[in-house]
Amino acid sequence: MNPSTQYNSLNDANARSGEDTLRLIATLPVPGGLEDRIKSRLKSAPGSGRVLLWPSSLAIGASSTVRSAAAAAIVFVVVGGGWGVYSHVKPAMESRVIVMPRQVEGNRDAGSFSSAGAMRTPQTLNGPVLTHPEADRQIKSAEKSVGGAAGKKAARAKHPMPKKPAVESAIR
Amino acid sequence: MEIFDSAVHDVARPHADEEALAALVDQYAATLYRVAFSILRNSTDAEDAVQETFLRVLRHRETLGEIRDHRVWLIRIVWNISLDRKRRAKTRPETEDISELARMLPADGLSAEERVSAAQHHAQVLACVERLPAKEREVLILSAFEELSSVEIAGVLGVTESSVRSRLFRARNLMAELLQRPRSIR
Repeated sequence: MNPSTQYNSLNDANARSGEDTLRLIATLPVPGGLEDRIKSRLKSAPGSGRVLLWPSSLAIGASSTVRSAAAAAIVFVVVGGGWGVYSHVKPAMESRVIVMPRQVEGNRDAGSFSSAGAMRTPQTLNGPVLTHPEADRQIKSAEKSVGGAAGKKAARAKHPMPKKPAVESAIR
Repeated sequence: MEIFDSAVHDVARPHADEEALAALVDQYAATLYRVAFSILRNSTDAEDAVQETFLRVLRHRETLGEIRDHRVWLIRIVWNISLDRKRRAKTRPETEDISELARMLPADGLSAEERVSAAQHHAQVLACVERLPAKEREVLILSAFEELSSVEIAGVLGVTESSVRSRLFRARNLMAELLQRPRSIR
């Protein structure tokens, strides 16, 4: 036997002995009752929820009336319960609302000054005619010079000065 | 094993699912336990992994009818669960697991000295398996299950059959080298 062949056979033997160990692990006996424990765990698992089934006695023959009655009873219970809850719920207290002053129509831009309700009057309207104060004064002085003292007397006779009451003058 | 097809009447469907699941437990629980044990090397952890596997099946029991090969499908699930558990539970050192497992392995008809020697040999083999690259190690562990063909191993690992064969070849060579020279680095 040459060395390489001897080495290969030794390698094979080593590999085989290694696989034998793994095979022993792969054939280890399973603990007793494993299946039962798994089944019981599956039954108690939360994901194993079952859908309610109609009893088999009701499933045969004319069961539509019974089903309808049962469905109506379920609807009655659900609606009744809902109404009971609804009727016992007190309405929430009204929230206090602070009324904000109404904004002026033409001034909605935040941060700007308001016009305080002033309205712009267009220049096209005919307003009251104002005389010039200087011209008015000249007219009055001309009247004075023409009338003189006689004019004054006549004017006083026309519009006598009202006499102040005594009480009022005493207070002032 | 008979799996109820999708045409089962609505009323009978829950019962059909339960029966199908119970049948799967009866048929494959032992195999799944061994697969989990070969990775986890702990009885309690392996049982937990099997239970988790069937809980996952329970959650997806509507798809049972669409599965072609239930055995490969279940082994794949328990394989992934076990790998995940082993990855997370790195609290105990590997040497403790190996020596404990080596003592557990059957040694009928051997004397006390031979038993000690056999246990040492098993421990050495398991230590060498741990030193293999992950891909080669996985194929080697699964190939120890005589009921699994290379096609089924490929199905479990999600690779082609040819890559399973090449990995197995490399794994055997590496194992031989490691056992020949235990201190050699791969």
